[in-house]
Amino acid sequence: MKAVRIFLKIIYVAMPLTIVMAFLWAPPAALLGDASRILYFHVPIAWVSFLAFVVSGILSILHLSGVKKQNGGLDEKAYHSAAIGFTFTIMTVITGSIWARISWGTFWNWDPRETSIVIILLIYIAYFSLQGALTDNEKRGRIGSTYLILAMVTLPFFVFLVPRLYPSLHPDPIINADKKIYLDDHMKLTLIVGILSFSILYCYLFDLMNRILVIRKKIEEYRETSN
Amino acid sequence: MKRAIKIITLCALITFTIFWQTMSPGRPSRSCCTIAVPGLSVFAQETVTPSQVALPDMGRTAESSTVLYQVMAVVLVIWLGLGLFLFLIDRRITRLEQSMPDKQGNGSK
Amino acid sequence: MVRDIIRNLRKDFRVEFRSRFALNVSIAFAVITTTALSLAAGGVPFSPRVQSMLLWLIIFFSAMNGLSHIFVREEDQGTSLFLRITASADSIFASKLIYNLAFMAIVLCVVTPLFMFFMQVTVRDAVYFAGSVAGGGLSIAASTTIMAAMVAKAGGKGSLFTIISFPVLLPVLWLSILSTASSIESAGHADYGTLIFLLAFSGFITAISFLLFRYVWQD
Repeated sequence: MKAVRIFLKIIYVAMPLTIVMAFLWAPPAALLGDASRILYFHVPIAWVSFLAFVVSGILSILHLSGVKKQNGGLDEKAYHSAAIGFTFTIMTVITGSIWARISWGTFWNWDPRETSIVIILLIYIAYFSLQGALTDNEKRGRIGSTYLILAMVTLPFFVFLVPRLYPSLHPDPIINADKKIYLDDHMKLTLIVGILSFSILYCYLFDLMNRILVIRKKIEEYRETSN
Repeated sequence: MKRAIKIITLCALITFTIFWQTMSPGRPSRSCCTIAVPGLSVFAQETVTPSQVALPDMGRTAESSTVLYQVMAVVLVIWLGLGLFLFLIDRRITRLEQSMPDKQGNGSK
Repeated sequence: MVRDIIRNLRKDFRVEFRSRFALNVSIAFAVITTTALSLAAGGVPFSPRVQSMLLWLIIFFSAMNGLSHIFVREEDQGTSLFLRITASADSIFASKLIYNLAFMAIVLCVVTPLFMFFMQVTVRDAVYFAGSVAGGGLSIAASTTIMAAMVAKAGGKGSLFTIISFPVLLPVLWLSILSTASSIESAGHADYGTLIFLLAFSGFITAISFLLFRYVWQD
């Protein structure tokens, strides 16, 4: 545990390194030039929002199946992961629409990837509304976990659905443009470093929030025992 | 919490001044940038690989690389603020965790 | 268990139809919205796509008004504890689900002809239209039963039910809108795969809700 925490401190080096690599080391892309550098931020942020979503789902399943870990409180951890994921999802939408404006001219195109990120955003908003409405309820964790699992399992349906819907929507020939960007070695390495450093940032934030949770629980325990 | 707000407002001020400088086109660049740009541009030129498609107009490269450095500086400043905030929180949490097992009742901190 | 389900169903129908509160609210909402739209349209019919979108908007929000009532009423009247003691979670879920399906069927039977009358909808492919409306309604009712239980625990206030149902129902709505639009537009291009998808979705969601319901219902 301690070793992992010390490892997470590497973010203080990894993130500036990513920024410098993204702006200076990686070459500009063929079509978009320097504006393509947003790729090195947008892709890791989108990856983290997806990762946070999956982690909160897994924690919800573990919470409901009764697996007890350390202090319990897996539902709170799922909430923390969802909070981080929500922030990163909003950042994904913002960076994605800036990139869409630069490459395709419009801020929003409703292509499959954009649509799935909006679905995730809506699920997060609904989850937080539900948790907010259940603030003093002792069943808050279970109901929140149930909702997250339910919402999570409908997501693959949507992923299968969108290609079916796609012919009837406006055709977007540049849908996979970012795959077609010529990624030479420098760009690939920058992207990988970016993904790694943002994942470490997510783990660090998640760990900090969980530690605060543990401290809060201990304080409550002390308060109860002293009373 | 107040410290965090101070840090974030400081970062916002710095980013605002840098943006203010970059947004006005006819403005002569500040001395720090004129010193930094030649130094950094040497570094940048070393990383140009043969596989990269060269931008046709070399006259625009200098200006675009200036903007690039300024944007990078802004992002670094933002990260500096965020990193400082995280570091301070981490330190505070570590202190709380270390003092925790010694606490009797609800000790104040 | 079947006896429990039938007993609960009978009780639910009797209680709900005594005052018909939820049903009245849903249908009143649909009537008001349809007449307002028709008034705003001024007699000019919309394109099939727009008609389909408006139909599903009205169906969705009418459903949101009424479908949570079955659980919210239990919490308000204080009978949920009694229900928890006397019947198993599975039988409760089954009976509430069947009630919601019946509720949705009634709402659809009233709302759809009303809409067609006021908005001058001429359906080209009647079978596909009926299938898409029924399939969409089935999916909505199946998905929202467990969410109604969650919302009832949260107090059932405001539009919380709509907020939490929307992300889950988004694929259903999207697909239903498209299939209804194509059924209004032209005959013979029926894509029955979408109906099968809606059925599959309802079945899947019902199964998952069945598994998860006891975590919401029981202490």
